[in-house]
Amino acid sequence: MSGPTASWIAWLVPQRDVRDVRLWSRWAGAILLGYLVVRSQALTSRPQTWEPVGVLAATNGPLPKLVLIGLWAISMIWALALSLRARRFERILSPAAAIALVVLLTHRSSTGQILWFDILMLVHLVIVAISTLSNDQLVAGWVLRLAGLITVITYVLAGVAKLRIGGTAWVAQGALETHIAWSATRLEVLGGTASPFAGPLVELGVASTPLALVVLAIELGAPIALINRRLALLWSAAAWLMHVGIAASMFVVFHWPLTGAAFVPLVLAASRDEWTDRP
Amino acid sequence: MRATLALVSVATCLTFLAPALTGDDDFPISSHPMYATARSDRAELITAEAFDSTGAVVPLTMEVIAATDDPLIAEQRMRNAAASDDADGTCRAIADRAPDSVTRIEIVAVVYDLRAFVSGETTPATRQALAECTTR
Repeated sequence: MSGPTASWIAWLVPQRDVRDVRLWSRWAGAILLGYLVVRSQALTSRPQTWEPVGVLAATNGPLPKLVLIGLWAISMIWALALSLRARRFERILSPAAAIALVVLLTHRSSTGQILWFDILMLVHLVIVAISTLSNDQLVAGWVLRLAGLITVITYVLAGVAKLRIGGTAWVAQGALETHIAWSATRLEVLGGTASPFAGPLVELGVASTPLALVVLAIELGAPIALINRRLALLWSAAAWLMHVGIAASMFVVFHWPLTGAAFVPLVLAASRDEWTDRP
Repeated sequence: MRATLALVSVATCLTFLAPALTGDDDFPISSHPMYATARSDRAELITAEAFDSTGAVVPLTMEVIAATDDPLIAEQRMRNAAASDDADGTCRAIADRAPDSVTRIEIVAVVYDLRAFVSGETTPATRQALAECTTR
């Protein structure tokens, strides 16, 4: 095969060092481990309301607590194996862990509120699980590229949703300020503590149109991260700073991007000699 | 093998991109509509207010109000309780979790001017009691 199709196939499935995927798996495993510990109670509790989504859409009610604890335990052992580089355990547990995580996180999003910040983590972890089954350099490159593409798609979708639902008003009418004010009010009224930056940001009006444009530019501009490693790093840094800003002003923590786990495959998928633009 | 893997990538990407056209929001195939609305400056929240034997307000934590530390889940849980006419049951569940000093709980729907709230004006524009219960 030759020509454009072959080039696209080579780009989608590049040859990469298996150690790069292992580095990302280890990182992802460590973040997952922390997440499972911090969210252990929420993940293993039976919710009061049940609005099933995804693979649980056909179910009539929450899963039994024992099943939830079992799924959580499988995920924990796998996360531990990943972070400690226990290769044999990783490989044996990967298929079961991928299924366990899909069910466990879908269960958590079936309580009347889809938890969007879990989605990218889940898809990446399923890809990590697949990566542990092979030591092939092509599979390594494919895994990193696919994970990077999913990161890009996630951000583009978030940008598209803002334009589709909020329209131009999302940019022009201070929607970002109102969201910051909403997050602060919701936290205070529901027994939490709002960010100390929320009030001054809204009062000063610095979070209006220019910042909304920056957010949209980062989200809709995500595909530039696929061009070369330099742009992958640059875009990842911009997206990471956006999440730092969200965490500081709204106390909303997107753990997967904030820990860098969302961006690592994007950077590693780019060839090391792609630091400069292609000729 | 390379062509097969490439095909899997294309199919996966198209699947995850589909909500851009359909607007569907599921898990994990989602349109990611977080913070996508051009929200109004006024918003309604359902919450719980607690009082001691003298009638003074006792602050409640999110864990007591909604048995979670996640505001997104807490908001939805309280909204669901009001929408499903289960404000009484929710009130009793909160009463069980409340500190000893609390003698009375009210589930309320409160409307706030969001910008005024973050500037320190924390009195709601409207307040409607949905349920009331005593702790013990």
